[in-house]
Amino acid sequence: MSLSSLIHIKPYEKIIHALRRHPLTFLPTILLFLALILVPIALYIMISNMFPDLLAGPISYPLLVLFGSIYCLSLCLFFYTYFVDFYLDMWVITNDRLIDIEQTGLFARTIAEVDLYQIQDVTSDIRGLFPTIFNYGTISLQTAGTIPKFIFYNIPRPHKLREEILALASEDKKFHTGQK
Amino acid sequence: MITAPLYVLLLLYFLFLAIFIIFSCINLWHVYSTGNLTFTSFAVTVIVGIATILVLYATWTLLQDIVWTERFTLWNNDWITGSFSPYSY
Repeated sequence: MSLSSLIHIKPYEKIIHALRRHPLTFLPTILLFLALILVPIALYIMISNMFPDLLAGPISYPLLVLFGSIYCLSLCLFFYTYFVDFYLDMWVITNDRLIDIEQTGLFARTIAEVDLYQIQDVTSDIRGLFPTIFNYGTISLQTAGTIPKFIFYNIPRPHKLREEILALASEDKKFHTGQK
Repeated sequence: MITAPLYVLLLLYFLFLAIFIIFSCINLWHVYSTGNLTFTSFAVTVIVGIATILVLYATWTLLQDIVWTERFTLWNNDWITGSFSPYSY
C-alpha cells in the first residue's frame, strides 16, 4: 500500500512533500525507554544483595522471571507503539492541498485537509536551543476554510518550507482565479 | 488454604503473549496500511523484533529447570487469624 491510497490523490495532483516531525524529537522517548530497561537490572542487583533467598525459591524465582519477562516485553510493545504513533503523524503537501494526518494511539486517526488557495497567512517559528541548532520548528497556517488553523509541529527546515508553501499557494490561487 | 499449581502462572504468561502478538500485529498493519514501509520503520521493526526474541529466549533459558506442577499458596486463613493473635515475646 502507498501513501496516495490513504489520502486519495487526484489524477492531476502531485505530492511535493511528505513531512514528519524531526527525528531528534523522538530522542526523549528513546532515552526514557533506555532508562526503563535499567529498572529490572537495578532490581536484580538489589534483590540479589538484600533478599538472595528470593532468587533461589522454587516459587519466587519463576514468578520473578515471568514478571521480568512481561515487563521487558511490555517495554518493547510500548516502544513500538510510541514509534508508530510518532511515525504516522504526517503532513503531506501536494500542488493542490495540505493534508494533516494525525495518529493518536493505535485506534484513532484524524485526517484534515485544506486547499492551498484558501491559505491566508503562514508563520514559521523556531524556538529553543535544539530547534535552532538542528533547524526544526513549527509552521502555523491561517486558512479561510472550515479548519481555521493548521499547525505543523517540529518540522525540519520550517522557514524554507514556509516560502515553498506560499509559492504553491500563490500558484494555486492563480489557477483558481483563472477558472472563475 | 487455597493453592494453585505453578503452571497457572505460565498460562497467564501465555495469555499475555497472545495480547502482545495481537498488538504487535496491529502496529505492523498500521505501518503497512498507511504506506509507511520505509527503511526507518523497517529498521525499528527489526530492532524491536530482535529485542523480543532475546527476551523470550532469556525467559526460556531461565525457566528450563522449573517444576511447573509444584503448588503455591494463593490464600491462607492463618494470614488473617494470625494477625489477631496476642504477641508472644
